[in-house]
Amino acid sequence: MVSTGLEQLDAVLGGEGYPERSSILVRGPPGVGKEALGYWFIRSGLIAGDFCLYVTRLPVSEVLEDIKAFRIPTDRLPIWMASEGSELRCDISDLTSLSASIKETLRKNSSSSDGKRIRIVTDVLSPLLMLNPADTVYRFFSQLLAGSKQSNSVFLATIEDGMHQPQVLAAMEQLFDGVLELRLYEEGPRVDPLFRVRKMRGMAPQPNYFRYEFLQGKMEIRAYAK
Amino acid sequence: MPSDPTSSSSLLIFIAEILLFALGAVVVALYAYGAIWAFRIRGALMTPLYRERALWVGVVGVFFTTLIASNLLIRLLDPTNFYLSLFQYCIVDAAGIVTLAWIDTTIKLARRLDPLNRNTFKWKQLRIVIWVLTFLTTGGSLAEVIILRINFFTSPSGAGGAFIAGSFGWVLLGFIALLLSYRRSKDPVLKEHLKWFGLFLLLLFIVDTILSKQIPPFRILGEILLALDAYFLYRGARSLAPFSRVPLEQNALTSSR
Repeated sequence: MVSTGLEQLDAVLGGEGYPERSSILVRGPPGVGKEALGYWFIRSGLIAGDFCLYVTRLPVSEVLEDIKAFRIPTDRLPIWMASEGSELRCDISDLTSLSASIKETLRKNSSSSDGKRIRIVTDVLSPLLMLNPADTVYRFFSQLLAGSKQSNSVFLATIEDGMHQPQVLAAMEQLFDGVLELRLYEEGPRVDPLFRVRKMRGMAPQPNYFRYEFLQGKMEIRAYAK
Repeated sequence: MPSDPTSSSSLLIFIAEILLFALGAVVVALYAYGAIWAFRIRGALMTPLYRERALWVGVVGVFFTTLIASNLLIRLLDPTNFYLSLFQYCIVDAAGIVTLAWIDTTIKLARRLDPLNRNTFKWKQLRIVIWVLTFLTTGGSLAEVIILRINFFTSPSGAGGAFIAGSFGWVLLGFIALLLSYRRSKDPVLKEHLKWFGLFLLLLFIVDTILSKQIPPFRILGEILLALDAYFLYRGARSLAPFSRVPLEQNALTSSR
């Protein structure tokens, strides 16, 4: 198992985190902190000595600002593939070169890092779906995820709820071994941020929701009771 | 017996003032409710940029609540008092600043949502110029009020016309940049928020024109429109993030823990 970087989330996922060689999708509306799960996952990988790749359509400086805002230390940084500020460029308008760049990076690492585990985090799924037909993105991701599993990777992607057709979201979910869902829920005068594990390879379905909060550089998770 | 026309007209004015005050109090409560919703959603959001936008929607709500409440109270207390009038001018002139703060944050967000992360309208650079000009025009307007000792409530023509127009001009420029940024982001959640908040600002502008007339029927119409405007603010606040009200699926295990 591969730690999520968050003790309480590991516990919800059965004690140790995401399954080995898995692909995880974090879905939720904008602003609920999906990307923070990716930051902690990368942070945990850097501490464990894993090879970590962060693929983003944003400039590195903006992602770093976000990481700091979540109070996650930035003393160790991943390999960036970003629109600005990185050696490897992430150009989401060119799927072919994006795919080739990621595969090449994984290939280089696989041959040079003595079987180190690889962690890949990306926020490009939603923007790709906005720029390309859904079936093209589906094929791109299915190939990418198949390739990443061959190279001992755990792949984590985020997708925006409310921005794509429900059938597109459902199709994308099919590609991933695990799906974490974040949502905002109105209960009387309160708005609660909730999350649940929609599916996870090797785990029985988990219908329960949890209330979560990011506090002091940690994710606080509590059982949600109405 | 013929009634005294003077006393009957003063009675009508008195009733109109009571009605206006009651309507104003309702409007203040409605605006405050919109602001509370913005802060409530801010509390549930996690990403800094989204929290910042929710904060500014809340601040805009609090700001207009204060503006309308003080307008109501000062008219009741002592509209001829220069310092109370100056306080009201300060709030009115700051409208451009708080609106621009909301526009600025929302453009940053729209840029983040743009798949290609484009710097629309060169906003990163333009925003500095617009902020400086907005502060200068707001300062100019207040300086004019202080130097000429103009009273907000009793002066027929008001003050700082050119300056206020300038300030709103920069805000309008910001709004155009915001619309362009939105077109590039194509985010339906942002579209919903812009629709309601845009209606809120537009109606506020229209009401401001009507309320500037000191005739009671216009003022009553203005207060009614302000109540509608407060509803737009409330919808703008609620559209900051999509949230569900559909009952959650069975959560028995969690509830029993």
